[in-house]
Amino acid sequence: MTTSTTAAPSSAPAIPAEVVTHTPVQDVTLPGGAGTLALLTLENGHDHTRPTTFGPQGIAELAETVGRLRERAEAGEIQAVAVTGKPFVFAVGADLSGIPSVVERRQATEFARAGHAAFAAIMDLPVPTFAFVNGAAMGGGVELALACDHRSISAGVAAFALPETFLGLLPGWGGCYLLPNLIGPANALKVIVENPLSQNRMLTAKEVAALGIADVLLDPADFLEDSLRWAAGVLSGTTSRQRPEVDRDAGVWDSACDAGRKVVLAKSGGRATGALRAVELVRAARTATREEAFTAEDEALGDLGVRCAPSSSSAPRGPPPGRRPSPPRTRRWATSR
Amino acid sequence: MPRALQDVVFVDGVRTPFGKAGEKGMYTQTRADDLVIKCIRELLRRHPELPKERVEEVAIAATTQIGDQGLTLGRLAGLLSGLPATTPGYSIDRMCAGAMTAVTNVASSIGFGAIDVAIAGGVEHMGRHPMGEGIDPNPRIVAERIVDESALVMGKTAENLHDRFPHITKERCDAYAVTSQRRLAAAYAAGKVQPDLVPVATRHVERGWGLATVDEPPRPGTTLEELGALKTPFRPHGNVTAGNAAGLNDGATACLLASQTAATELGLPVGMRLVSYGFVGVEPEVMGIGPVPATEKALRQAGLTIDDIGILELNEAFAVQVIAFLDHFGIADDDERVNPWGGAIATGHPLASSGVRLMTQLARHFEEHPDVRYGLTAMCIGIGMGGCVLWENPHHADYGKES
Repeated sequence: MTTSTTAAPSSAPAIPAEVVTHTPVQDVTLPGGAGTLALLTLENGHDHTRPTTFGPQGIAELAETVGRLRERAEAGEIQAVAVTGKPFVFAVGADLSGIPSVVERRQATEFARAGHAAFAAIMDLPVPTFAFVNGAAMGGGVELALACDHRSISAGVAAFALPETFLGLLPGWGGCYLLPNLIGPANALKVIVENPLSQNRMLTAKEVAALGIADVLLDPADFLEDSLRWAAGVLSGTTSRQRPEVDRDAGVWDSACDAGRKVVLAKSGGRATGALRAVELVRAARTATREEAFTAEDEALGDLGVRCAPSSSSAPRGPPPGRRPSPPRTRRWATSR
Repeated sequence: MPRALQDVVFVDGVRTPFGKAGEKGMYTQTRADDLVIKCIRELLRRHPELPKERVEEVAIAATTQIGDQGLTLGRLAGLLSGLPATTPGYSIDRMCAGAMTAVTNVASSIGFGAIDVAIAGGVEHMGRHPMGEGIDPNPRIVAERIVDESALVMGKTAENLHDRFPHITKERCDAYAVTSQRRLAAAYAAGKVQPDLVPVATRHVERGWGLATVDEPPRPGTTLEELGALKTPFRPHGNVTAGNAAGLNDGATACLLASQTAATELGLPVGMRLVSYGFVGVEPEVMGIGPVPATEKALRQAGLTIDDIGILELNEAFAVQVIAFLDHFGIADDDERVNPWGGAIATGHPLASSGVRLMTQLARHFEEHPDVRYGLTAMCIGIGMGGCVLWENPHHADYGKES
């Protein structure tokens, strides 16, 4: 804090510029004649002590890159797209430290929409998409991985979580919709509400694979090379992928959500409004279209009012990136996805 | 205690694609130790029949053993590759013949019966660690004229070699370089090089991750005219250019060696059998001649002559140095038995890693030529040495019989 008379008063901390996550892409020739894969790296130019996060500029850049990939896929130049992170970090979600305090509900939902649009664009790519989860993945990072068709995870990943409900929010970039449809409502609610409300428990890579969130667990030593080999196998059909069968029966689905709601009530005495809302989004995910679900997430984030901002300060620093985000320090208005 | 020597076999070898050193090179932001770790991982992946705990030594060479090439690289590379804590390891430095020395070292341990299975290899990231980084030559070298000052600059030693052998002209060297480039291109086109390349994920903050799958240095279309126009940086009106010498490169290699007994027990394939080896010192200012006495020594030890050798894999640090070798043994510059897939002038020469590249390729040649019984791998070594390893082809009808 400077002593200059023109400085902001100390009660209003200076807002640092967004550490923008860039999205460079390199083409990779896959083994076995499986074609060309466009490999996108989430990279903010810092080492692992400043994990990769998504702010408005980063989301805009991601959307632009995905747009270009779409053109290349349609032109037949690439046969697959994969997303991975810089060493030790895949992506740890949203970073709103770079934008001024959000005072209107509209501002809160706008950023949610931008993320949804970028992730939906990944889902709509006309070629198979892969997430190679090489390092810490939280919140929006996990949701980005969920937006891809296939996922590998490094056995070295120590932190994989949707910590939003721990912060009074909910996974609002597709998490409440994509996860239950991938692994069923019971396991999804474990990740979305039960773990966050249990001192913000993280998943290990092994658990991520056992839950079926990741399709394959690979050694860290040559994770990226192995992931590309695996992707080539998936594309050529030589690698079979086993996913747990999701029971879509309405009764089963609802009772899982009822149980999830009980967990939230028991753990928070009903004060975790974000978690309660998340349970209902998961309930609706059985029949909702993607558009309905994403809109509901946008609205939920707006409604929650968001009294806390999980900025980069709440992201884990340093490997193993397994530490919990610290509780919010300010009460300024901001969305915090 | 009576002791029987064990036969040593070369099981399999791999290497990373070689890169150009420097900021534009594909490995500029990729760690050196990671390069050799990928090679060890590939050997383990290719040979699931080998229980990891059976690997009893990891010897990794690097010329500049600091930073990511330091810290007892062989030991740490083993641990980082997923070998058990019980597998020991160490680092080796014999300049360009580092990996070759790693092989002869662990082979000697196997031959002696101290161990049965070992990994040997080398790495040199000349972009991160240029030759001579951090060195502190003893002032006596100059004061007492222990060696000529030019001996520490490899390009100058190559010019010195031209002085020694005036009949080896720049034109011959350039023609040799063109052949090397052409042969590598043909080998690539025929898909012969690629099977033993380990794909390496390349890290770069601005470019993002990429995947290295082919060598970066080759210039397949190189012509004599182009080479003739290059500068001679080591001497005005000299003969040595960037075109008729190996470049500055990044890369790593590793191979698996075993006793014949262990190979049989574990079902490991036999690529070659070690026959003999020799390292010999020469005047440092003409280090390029080193392979000649080294080869004579290895041949003598094996009771063989150069006529018994069907295929030669020679490291091409400089064309002049290879031609000096060929002249000595009466072999034509473009003899088909020499470097059939081209050499370091085309692929690159990441110093301490190159020895195993020669061996891996010789093992492949043996597969293709069961009529050839013996082959050799040889290279010149900085500060005036040469190294040569002789190998026997297990696919030959007389394999294992007394020659």
